[in-house]
Amino acid sequence: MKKPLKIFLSLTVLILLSFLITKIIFRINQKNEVAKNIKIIPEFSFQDINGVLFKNRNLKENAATIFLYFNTECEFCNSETEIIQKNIEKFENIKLIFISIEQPEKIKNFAQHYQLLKYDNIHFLCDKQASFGTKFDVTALPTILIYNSQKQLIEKIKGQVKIDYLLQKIK
Amino acid sequence: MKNLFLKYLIISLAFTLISEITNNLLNVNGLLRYFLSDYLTLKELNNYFEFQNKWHWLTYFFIPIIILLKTSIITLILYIGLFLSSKDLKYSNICCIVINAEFIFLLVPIIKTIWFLFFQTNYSLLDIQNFYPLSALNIVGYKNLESWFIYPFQILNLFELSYIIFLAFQIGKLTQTNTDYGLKIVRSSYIPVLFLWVATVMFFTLNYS
Repeated sequence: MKKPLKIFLSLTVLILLSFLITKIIFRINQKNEVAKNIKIIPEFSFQDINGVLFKNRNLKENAATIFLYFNTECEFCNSETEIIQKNIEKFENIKLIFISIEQPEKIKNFAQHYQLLKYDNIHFLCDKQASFGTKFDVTALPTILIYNSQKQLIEKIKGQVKIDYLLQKIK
Repeated sequence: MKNLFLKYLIISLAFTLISEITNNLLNVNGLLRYFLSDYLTLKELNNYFEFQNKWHWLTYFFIPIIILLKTSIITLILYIGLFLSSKDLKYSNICCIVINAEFIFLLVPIIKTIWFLFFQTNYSLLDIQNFYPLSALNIVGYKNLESWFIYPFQILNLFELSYIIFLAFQIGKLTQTNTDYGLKIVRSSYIPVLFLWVATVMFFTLNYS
């Protein structure tokens, strides 16, 4: 009776361990691959809240770009957006791209609430297929990706951050 | 049984007390405030600390619960290991030796506090969070390491080794055999599950970091 139990338990541990190790190796490789791909802004294409396609070529030449992955119901995302709105003049020469997996209507209401629709350098995009998260390895809300004017990644920040910190990174 | 409960109470109190003393001596709250000041506004910071102060008493329950869970699971693993080796021992007897061995880990926060108070006096919140005395992490350093590798390097430490040897010694005594036999039990029960645990922590850190 004890021998089969011994074999069963040993096999269970072994199978679980092998499964986890395989998954860990796969995920590490995937993370490394993404980290390599996002060093420079990768090719992307998302619809904005008016249904118009927004691609790499819509980014401003020689200007820094900030991607803010958010959700309208996330408290920290709202807080970050509010801080940006209060300091909007400091972002004059920066392309600010807000992106969310939510419906365009919901994103539009959010943008209207913070009065951010009137600025040319601010865009609100819909990630309908949730591909931004996979492409940029985003696992938290909000996540901020800061790219310099050469389109090189400066920092990927998880969570909320103060404006001074954000602007200091772009300088 | 009474003895077992008393030991559990002592170790829970000791861990809670040492953790409070460490936090105060190393000014962890001040370091946390400084760290968060890059991310939160003054109002948000104050709200955060207000919330933290309000619910701080919950941490006094948190430590005993963690110890209870940890010792119960390790006891169960050793119990199964011993049962499969045809040694039927009482669960409470095994639990007693697991709690005895747990006292070894009391040295970790003590050494950590001494280290930052007298040796590395210039430290940050991340230094405190990632420091584990006498571990492999101290050799490689956490700064050049990806977040998911930190835990396995922390686990490779002399306290864990002493814990395993002390468990083995006590099992040897309890089964009226020797430490070698105890090591055999620990090697076939506790160590594989420890590997499984480390792999699980790594897996979750990788997916949520």
